Amino acid sequence: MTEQNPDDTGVWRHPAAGEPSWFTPSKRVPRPDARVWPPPPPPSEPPGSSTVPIPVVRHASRNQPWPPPARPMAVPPAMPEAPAPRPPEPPVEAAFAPEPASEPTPVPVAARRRRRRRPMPKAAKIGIQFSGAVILACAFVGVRGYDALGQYREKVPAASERHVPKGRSAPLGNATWRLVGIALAPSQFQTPETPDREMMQIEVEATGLNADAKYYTSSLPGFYLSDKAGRMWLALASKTPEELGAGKTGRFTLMSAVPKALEDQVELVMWPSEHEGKDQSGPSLRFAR
Amino acid sequence: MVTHPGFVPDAPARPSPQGAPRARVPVWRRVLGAIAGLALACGAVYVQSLVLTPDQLNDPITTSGGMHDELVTDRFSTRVERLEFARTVRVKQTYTTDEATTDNIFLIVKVGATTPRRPTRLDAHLLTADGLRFEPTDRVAATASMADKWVQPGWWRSGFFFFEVPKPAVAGLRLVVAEPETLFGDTWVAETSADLGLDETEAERMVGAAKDVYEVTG
Repeated sequence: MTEQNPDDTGVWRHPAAGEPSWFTPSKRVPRPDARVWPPPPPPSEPPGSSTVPIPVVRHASRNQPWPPPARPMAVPPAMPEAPAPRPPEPPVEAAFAPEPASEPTPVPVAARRRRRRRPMPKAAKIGIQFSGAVILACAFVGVRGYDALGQYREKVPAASERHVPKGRSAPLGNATWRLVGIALAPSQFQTPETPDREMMQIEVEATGLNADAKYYTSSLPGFYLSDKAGRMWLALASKTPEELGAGKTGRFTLMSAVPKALEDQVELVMWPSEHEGKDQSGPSLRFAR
Repeated sequence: MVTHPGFVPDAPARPSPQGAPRARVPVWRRVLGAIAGLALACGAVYVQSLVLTPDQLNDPITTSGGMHDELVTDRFSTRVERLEFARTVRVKQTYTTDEATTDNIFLIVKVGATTPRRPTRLDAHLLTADGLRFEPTDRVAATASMADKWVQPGWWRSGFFFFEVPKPAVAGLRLVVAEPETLFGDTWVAETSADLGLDETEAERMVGAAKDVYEVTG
């Protein structure tokens, strides 16, 4: 039994010494020198080797490798009886001969003019660079601000207030709301220790638009009393309807403390939820008294 | 391969042999330019050290003052009205009386607050001289605290914040009042920071004169 090499997996073996392999390096055969640049002239072909003579296109501009399409003729030309006399064929040798090096390529007129333009004054150059930097900075800040504003508006929708005339009702959320009245609260609710405030009692009637209106009995909408300047005072519910639903009407009784001077000016403002009322975002109703 | 002469790119134009002679720059100008470049690079690196960290960018905008100063922000105004130390706080409610005792000391801060526009609630915390933060204690019923009360426009509302602090930390305390933090915190929220005027001697005197029982209703 032969001793086995532990590294030998049996998959690959060293090739035999004489055997040519891609792995064993072999001596490189030096290649003969060949002219690479400038490209060698094409091998001349013996005359008569080409069956179709290709005429040399002279004065072809390199910027226009493709000729403009020919206009379609209104009337197709009649077939000539006899083939037109051919122009004298250029010799085949000339077709492949390189262009004479002495002939300079024509420089475009615009490039010549650009090269001749006077250099820009240094002050103008610095001014252009500076204004470019300022414009780019403004654009950067503007785009970032616009993006931040968009994100904020997605989170907190813009407030839109709807004014409701006296005695009318308006839909908001899952119900239609009507202000019944704002009046001074009965004397047992007044607080004698704070004579500068007045307790107000507000009656609001809600008629459900769909079955989800029942949630207003537990999670109240955001009610506030507001003056003309936009200051807000909490209006907390002291009585909520037993049930509310599609087509059902219920009455909310709210209490709110406002400064004494504003007791006959404050108006009821409401948002569909307490959270929106806290942010003062989204649609809201303002009831005229 | 046969290449048509038209498709072979031209060799790049060689610079003219004589060439325009380069303008001579004096040595002192080169040195000056190198120094200016180095200074600009150092300045750029230094400015990077002034960039605010994300935490600092979220810092609130603080209005500072002392005792009895009216500290005004866009969202609310506060003033510290009174300061008391006590070993026991008794909260009298309608039917029960809760008593909270501590081995440290209770600091009772009476704060008045109002808002310019809309109703809000306020939270408070203490900052010690060396940057420690104390939240209001939970030994005292939350209903007695100012944090439970609405602050509305048009009038000042006063209430108490109760803190439990170790006696050595009393000197140099500041009271910071802000609106409660939301889950996804707003940036640049307003806060007021009032120096409670407790230097070493004053702190020692007030802690020594702490009441046995401080009684509030709530």
